[in-house]
Amino acid sequence: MVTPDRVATVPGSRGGSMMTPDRVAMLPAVDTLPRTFLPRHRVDELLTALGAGGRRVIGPTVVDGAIVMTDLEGAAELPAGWTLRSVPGRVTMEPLPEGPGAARTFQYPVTGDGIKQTLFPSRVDALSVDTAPDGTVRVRVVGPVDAPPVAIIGARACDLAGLAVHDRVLLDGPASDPDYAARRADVLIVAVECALAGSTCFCASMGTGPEVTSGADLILNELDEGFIVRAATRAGERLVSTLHLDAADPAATARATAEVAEVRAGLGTAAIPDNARDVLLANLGHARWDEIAERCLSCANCTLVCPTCFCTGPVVQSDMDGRASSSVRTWDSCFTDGFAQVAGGNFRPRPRDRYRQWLTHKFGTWWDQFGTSGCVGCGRCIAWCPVGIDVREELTILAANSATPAVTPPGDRRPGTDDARHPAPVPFELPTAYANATVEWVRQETADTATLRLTTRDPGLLAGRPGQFVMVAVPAFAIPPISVSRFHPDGLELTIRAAGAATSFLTRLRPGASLGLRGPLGRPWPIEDAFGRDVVVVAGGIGLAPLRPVLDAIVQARDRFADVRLYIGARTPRDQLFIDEINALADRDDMIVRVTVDRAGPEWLGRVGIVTQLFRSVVGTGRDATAFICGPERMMAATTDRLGDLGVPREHMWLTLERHMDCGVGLCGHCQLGRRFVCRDGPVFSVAELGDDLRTEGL
Amino acid sequence: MSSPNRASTHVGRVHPGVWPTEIPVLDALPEGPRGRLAASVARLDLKAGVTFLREGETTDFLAIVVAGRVAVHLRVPERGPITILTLEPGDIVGWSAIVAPYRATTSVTTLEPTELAMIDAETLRGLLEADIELAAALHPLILDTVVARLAATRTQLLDLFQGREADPW
Repeated sequence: MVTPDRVATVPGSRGGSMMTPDRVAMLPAVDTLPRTFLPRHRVDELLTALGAGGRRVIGPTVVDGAIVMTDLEGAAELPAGWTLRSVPGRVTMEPLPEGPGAARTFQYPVTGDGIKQTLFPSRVDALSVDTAPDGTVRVRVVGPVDAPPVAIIGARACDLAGLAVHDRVLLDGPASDPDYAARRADVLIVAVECALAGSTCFCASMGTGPEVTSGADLILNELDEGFIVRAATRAGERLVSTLHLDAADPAATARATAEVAEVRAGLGTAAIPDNARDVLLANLGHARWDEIAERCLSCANCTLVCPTCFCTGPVVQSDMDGRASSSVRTWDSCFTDGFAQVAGGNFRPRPRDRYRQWLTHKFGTWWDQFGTSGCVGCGRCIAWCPVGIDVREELTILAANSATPAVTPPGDRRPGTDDARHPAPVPFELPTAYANATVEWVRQETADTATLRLTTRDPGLLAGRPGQFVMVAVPAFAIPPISVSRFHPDGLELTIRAAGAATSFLTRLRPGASLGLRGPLGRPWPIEDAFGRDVVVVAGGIGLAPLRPVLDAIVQARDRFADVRLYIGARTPRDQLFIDEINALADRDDMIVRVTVDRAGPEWLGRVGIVTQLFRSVVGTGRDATAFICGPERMMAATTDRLGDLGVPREHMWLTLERHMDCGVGLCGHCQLGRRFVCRDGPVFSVAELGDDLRTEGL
Repeated sequence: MSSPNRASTHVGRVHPGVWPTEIPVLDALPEGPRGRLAASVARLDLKAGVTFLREGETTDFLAIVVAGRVAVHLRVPERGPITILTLEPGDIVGWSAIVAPYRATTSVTTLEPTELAMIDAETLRGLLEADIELAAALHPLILDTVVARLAATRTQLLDLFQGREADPW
């Protein structure tokens, strides 16, 4: 698999420098490890050894007609005599056939749950917000759980590959997930090599199995009479040494090895195209997506059973008087209605958009984000899909009917991440704690939009830069991301449109009110890119708010910029923001300011028309201009087209994107746009970075 | 029908003859056609609030905005007049003067004191028919105008800033 040198990390570690020394790596070449033999009647001893010191022991057992992973009391609970038959759209539990092997305990392909729930539970406490007696809003991020050490028995090669992917996603990013880190800190894993594959399995094609090559402390091979045991880590060796096992009979070892080899032979290694990533990214407009969408129920089953899907969302529970609330973080799915929903609309309104997002992320952009495929070949998404959509079949069809030639040569399935369009990671520490802020004044800008002037002493917030945003917490409401619309030495301003319950509440706050802020987050506007150049600022609607700090920066150091032009579009005359300030800028003789509205009645004597009509002929020599753009996405696309026609280089056109953001640090998964996490890699991007993604509908 | 001198006297003063400032569109034409067209162009000064084209009525002249600002508007049932676009110096107004049945598809009203360079519709049609060089130079400019109107009308229909769905926050 992709991270052969990685078994576990401790909380807070970044990239492995703090790994526990004796669990740094599998011992080399697992197939040459000494093998011992554990007779079937002594399995309880192994479970007892695993549970020593209060360690939870989790393994497979039969519950309600299914094999599931749960706390084990003893070997008698293992699913002896049972197997699972999985085909696309169906998994059934059946007794093993009479005869040799009928009493085996791990003679089934993967369970539905695997080990994901154990280390990445579907519900964890995330946050509590309350109001202190003095009125101060307090936000408490629930600290790392007090998770007991865990031993997992029965993990398969694909499960371990999934675990390695989760480590990469949840521990190795710019931000790590403290809950996962705590649960992951002390885990013993007893893996079992598969002696049976299901029709939905394709681990050999993904390079993850059926042999266990990394991620386990002990590796078992089940035979009728017992288990061949390999200790793959120092912890595994210590465990085995307490059992005083005899060396395995070479003939038994050979039988076990042969069984796995037979599984490999049956699986084949070509279930999906070698260049799946490039096929997917070259075929975002393929007609096959519509065909799949006709079958896909958007039920989210595939994402729930997938061992690597990691997207989560908050569920807020409030007390009756709205003074205190808590958030539970639950698994979310890119197939749900609300997943890509923001104030400006739903970015993936159709099932085809959602299926395409899932598949292109799993097999494609995952490489760009994490240097690995998101698929481990376990086949759960095929077996548990109610209509039996088979990713192997869909990828093969897409590859065979590729609309555009895919670029990677066959055989190279690890594309690099050095693509020029991939934005640089955020270079600073991402804030995870909330600071306190107080409302100094509120100004109603339009019927639905207000500006809050906040004071705070938090040095991090005060060091924020134009284009950055903050997460705004008050009790009883979801926590929305809001762009900072002005920075002050002792605070900042937020201009908020009442688009939903939380933002409506925020626009109605009174002076003296308290709130919690986490930030500043995201990549700021690169103001310095415009030094010595002409500047074109284009704002549509509420998009003027995140551009206001750019205007402040220009006014403060006007002589650092050449010609400055500001074009503002509003929906109607009544929707104009910051009217006095914009008029003051228009009165200056060192910048051109043009305002237009989309729609007006006869009382409006100003300009009517879309904002791009304002610079039909005004921009001059665009080659020397830097543009800063924010507004509805269609308006930004039209603006970049027009500015491009006028010669403004794509790498000097900057825009900020709106996407669903719950975490702000690239962990919750909602804000993905192709290979990007908009919250962490953006929200400010250059048009050159975004490429076609800006115009690809439903991405 | 009518000479430039008599055209549209119901809306403002018409000044034949010498033009005091540059006329944007005319200046973009080649010298020959420009000279032949300029001979028929008159200046029309309008106060603010004058409606000089009315939706559904015959278009008497084509004009170029030289100074000021005018609003192109439609009457939408149950909503009243909706401005779809404002025009500024350099913009052409009254393209329906050369497209049968020569009836305005929108109304146009001055928003501020406005100066137009105008040419009588019938005179212009005669010139375009007789002067192929002039027609070849002027038609693309007028087509540009029609395309801009179509785009603006389409935008109003799509309503760039509307059509939002339910919000999550």
